[in-house]
Parts: sequence; structure tokens; C-alpha cells
Amino acid sequence: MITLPAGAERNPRLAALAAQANAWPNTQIGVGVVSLNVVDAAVEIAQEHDVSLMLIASRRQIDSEELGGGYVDGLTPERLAARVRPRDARDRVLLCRDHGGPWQGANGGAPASPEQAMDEARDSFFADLDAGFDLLHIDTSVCPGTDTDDGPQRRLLELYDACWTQAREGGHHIAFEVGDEEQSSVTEGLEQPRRLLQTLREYRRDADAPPPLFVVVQTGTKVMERRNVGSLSAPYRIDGQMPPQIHLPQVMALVREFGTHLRQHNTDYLPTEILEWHPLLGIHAANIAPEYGIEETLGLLAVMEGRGAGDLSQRFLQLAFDTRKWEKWQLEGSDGTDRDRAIWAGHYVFSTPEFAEIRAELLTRVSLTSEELDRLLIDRIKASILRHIRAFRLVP
Amino acid sequence: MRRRVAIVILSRNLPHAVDRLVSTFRRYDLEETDIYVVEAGTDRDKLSEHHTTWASWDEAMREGLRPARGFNLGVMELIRSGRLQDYDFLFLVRATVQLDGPVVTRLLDQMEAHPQVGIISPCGETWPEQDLVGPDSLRYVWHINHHAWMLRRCFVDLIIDHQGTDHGPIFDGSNFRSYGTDTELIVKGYINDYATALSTACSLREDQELLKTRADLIRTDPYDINARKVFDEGFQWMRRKYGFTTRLQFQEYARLWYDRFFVLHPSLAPYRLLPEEAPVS
Repeated sequence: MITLPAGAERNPRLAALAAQANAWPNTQIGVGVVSLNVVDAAVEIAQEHDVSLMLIASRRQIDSEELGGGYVDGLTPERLAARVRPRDARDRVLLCRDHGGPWQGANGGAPASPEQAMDEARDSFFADLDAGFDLLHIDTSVCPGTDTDDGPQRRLLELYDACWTQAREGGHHIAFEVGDEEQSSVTEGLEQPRRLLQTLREYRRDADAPPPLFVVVQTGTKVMERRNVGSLSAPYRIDGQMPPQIHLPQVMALVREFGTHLRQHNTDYLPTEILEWHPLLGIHAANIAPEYGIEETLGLLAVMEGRGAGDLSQRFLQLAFDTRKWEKWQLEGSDGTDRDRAIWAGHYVFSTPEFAEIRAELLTRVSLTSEELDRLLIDRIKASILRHIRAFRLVP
Repeated sequence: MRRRVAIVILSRNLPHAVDRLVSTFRRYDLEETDIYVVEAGTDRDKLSEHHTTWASWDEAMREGLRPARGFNLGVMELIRSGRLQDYDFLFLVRATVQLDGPVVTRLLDQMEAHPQVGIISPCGETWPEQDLVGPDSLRYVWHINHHAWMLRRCFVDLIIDHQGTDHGPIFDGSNFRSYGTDTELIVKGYINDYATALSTACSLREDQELLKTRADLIRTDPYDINARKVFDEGFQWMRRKYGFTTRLQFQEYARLWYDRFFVLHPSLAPYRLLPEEAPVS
């Protein structure tokens, strides 16, 4: 059951999502914008199955022109909207900012000063609003320097207020998601999210602002390599952690108390048997991202290696490996091979000129048009999204 | 003075761990307890001097007995010798557990104060449930693993399977590596109106180092391989016996009987681990 904050029901996509959530027990899905083909796969599924879903874009994936865009084909919020909206006649695809906030962007070099980082975060959110985004996730957990205890919450209130004011003045009917914790394999205590929601409640009382539609609380999910290593799917007790079957009811009680809804991040690679329990456990929404990017990478490798272009797969893998983007996904003591590492990082290079060359050569060598190759990849991604959608009981 | 508690320690090649447990029980709980030690496929040179039963047949020497069959053997010996009825409680303890202080005495005090409790377990030192239970207290639960459980004998009398020579009297030994057999016993408790409690009046420590790095000592597979076998066998057993295709279904089954218990005993609601949930929405 999802209750929209007052005013949000005037957004047809939010209204459709809420109606879907309230029809029978199900879990809403957030699909990470890790590539153009993932975007297109999600839009097609939404239309073909008449299902609402949320496209979630981090600032590293998509950001405003002024802030340098992102690694997904240089897309800006405006261009993402232009790609999705004309194909979404049913108002089934919500455009959502995922982990918007200071120091969350793709900018290289030295970290921005606190003031600059907050300015950039605000500008990024305002660009989302201008593009017609439906939901903004404000995540102020990142701080490259020493932070005060209340730093993340202070920054969150500042951005919540700025975005709400801007949305109201611009006539945008949006919803918010909050959560200032980083992904974790553990089922952490609930003091931190409780403090956050309490502070937010006090601010909202003064500012007449809506409650967040979703709050991120750790439920014991963590993505590493191509596995979910969190306690949610562990069949045994993880030392020092609350078993999920005890932790989750507490989380649900907390979100009910504050009139919001649970959004679980890092849901990638959970076995279907666990996914199928999400609706019954009451988890309102869950995000999946890298799993789809890796599915596309595996699809590409299958085409390359299955059609006699193994040398191109080696070039692609080397290109991905050299980004070293796999480092953040690697488990300590990992026994992954360099090929595995390259696969974890494959989707980060889809928009590079070097990959464009490899892809062009592939098309020539295997006698596929660009559209035919994309169709193969999109169908593969759709199968992966459908696994989640079916397990979440969004479609029969 | 009649000793009310039969302690059954299950060990394989861990004489020092057994010695430590026996020493603790004798120091703190001597007056209340008789101690039985089941050596499950232990090598002759690693038998504890305290052992009372040695499973030394070929299969046991090769594979061990694992928790279900091991504790079943200990209880079976009590039945065969006619001594089971001498006791009011059984305390079934794995040798890989470490206990300190008058654990038995404290659990007995709580069992006496809570006659509807059929199983009670000390809380693990690192288990976050401690915060939910509060100090020196107990809460009724639907899911804990079996490391050191005290069972009320009249509950055991209710569920004991006298015909089950293959499967054993208490735990279902057909599930050799025993994943899920503890949940099954909890369910049997709630079905028969006996709760399972988690106590913070005392605590236990699991010897993680031993379990994870000294598989050779207890002559089992390396930790990860053993864990995989434990889960695979357990899932197959749940599917075969109950038709559950996921372990969450099994836990939900336990939860259903747990909730029903409080419908029958509303006065015990303060002892729920978590407040009663609103329906899922």
C-alpha cells in the first residue's frame, strides 16, 4: 500500500504507481539507468505489460549539461526525458533521481568545497525538475572531508527545502526519497533513520512540506562482484547482525510510524525465492541497477565470442578493465579473474569513442545492423527485468 | 538431592572444549545437573575423559553424526537406560559453544517463572537481539539456531517419536546435516502450546575460529563446502517433508504458530520479541 503525499496525485505517473501498488501486494521496481539499452528495455516493458516502473539515474550516470553529463551517453535529464516521454503514452515510466546530493556527481579532480558541492547538488536537482522528473532521492551521506554528526541531516534539510520550494513555485508535482546511509551488507540499527525522519518531520511541520514518499533503510543487501553478499539472502546468521526476519518488521514499523514507505537499494542478484517474498514482507520498492548493465555486457560478449569476433571481445574487456571501475565491486580476497573484473565494469565504457569503434567493427564483421544488435541486447535485458517484475508480483 | 537437568554435550574430536564445558558446569551448576557426553565419530585418541557414549560405528566414524542424530543418540541413551524421566529438563549443548557462569541455574529460574516455555536458549554475545530482549530478561521467539537449548522434559514427552528409530526421538535425523531441524522443533513447541525463549540472563559464545578454520579438527568439509551441503540438504528436506520451496516459507510457517500462541495466551504478549505487527500493507 502506498499513500501519496498531498498534491503528488496530480502527477499522472505517481498516481499510476500508487494505484498499481494498492491493487494487491506487490513491490515497485526501480531500474538503474546504466545504459541506453536498459532505458529502452524498461520503457518497452512498461508499455507491453502496462506496468509502472521507476527509471533511477544517479548523477554519475546522468547529470545536467553544466555539470558535465554522465557516463550514459552524455545524457542530461532533459535528453533522458526526451527519449522516454514520447514512448510512454501510458504514463508508466517515472523518471527518478537516484542518490542526488553533494559530492555525488561524476566530476573528476579535487573534491569540491562544501559550498560548491551544495550549489552543484541544488543545480542538478533543479535541472531534474526542469526536465519533468517525478521523484528526487536526496542522499547527503557523502562528504570527502571531516563531517559533523549532524552534517548529513543538515544538508538534507537544506536541499529538501530548496527542492520543495522550487517545485512548488514551478508547479511540479513531485515526490521525494530520503536516506543518508551508504550501502551496507548489515542490518544496521534504526536509530539513524529514525533520527532523520524525526528531524524531517519537525522541518515539514514548519515548512508545510510533504513527507518523503520513500525512505532508504538498510535491510541487509549489498552488491559485490556479481553477488548479493548481504544478510537478507544469507541462509545463516551473520555474526553481529540482526536476522532479517526480525529486522524487517522493525523497519516496516518505523516507516509506518512516519507515514512513509521503504525503498530497498542494492537488490541486484537476489535469488528469485527471496525476491518473491518482497511483496509479502511489505517492502514497498526495490532498486536494481548493475545487474542489468552486466546482463548487457554478457549479451555483447555472447555476440562477439559466438560469432567469431573473439578479438573484439578481448579489446572490449581490456577497455573495461583499464577503467578500474571494477575496483569498487571487488570483494576483499576475491578469486575473480581479470575477465570477471572487466565484466563488472563493462557498462561504464558503452559511451566511449573506443567502444564505438569496437561496436562498429563488430557490426561489419557479424553482419548485424545497429538496430539488430540493440534488439538482441534489449531482449536480453528485458528478460532480466521481467524476472524481477514477476517476482515482485507487478505482473501475473 | 535429585538432579533436575540432564546436560548432553555433543562433540567430535574436541576433548578440550568438552573439558572446558564440563568444568564450567561442575563449578557453577553441579547440584542441578548430570552430564552426558556424546562422542560422535570421535577418534579414539581424542575422546573426552567425560564421554558417556561413543558413536564408533563405521558411518559415524566417517561422517560424524551432526546435531540432529547426535543429540538424538544422547536422548535415546537416556530413554534406553530409563533415566529420561528422572529429569525435568534436558540441556543440549554443542561442544563448539562456550558458556560462562551459572548458566543452567539461571535458565532454570526462568523456566520455572515461565511454565509455557518449552525451549530456552542463552543469547549469543554478539547477537543484536540482546537489545530487544533487554538485560537479564527473556523474550519468546520463533527463530533461533540451536547451539545450547534447554528443553522442558514434559514438552519432550509430548513430541518424542518412539517409533522413529531411523529418524530419532526429537530431531528429524533424516536431515543429516540438520539445517532447519531446530526451526521444526520450535514449531512443534508452538503447535503443542510451548514457547521458545531467548534469554539474556546468561550468554553463549560460538567458537567461530574453530568452525571456520579448523574443519580438519572436527573432520568435516572446509567451512564453505560444508555450509553449502548443509543448506542444500536442508532445502531438499523442507521441500520433501513440508512442500516448502523456500526457507522463508518455513520461517513464515513458524511465525504463524508463534502468533497463534499469543492469541491463546494474550497475557504473555509482553514477552513477544517484537510488538504485534499490523497486517502487511
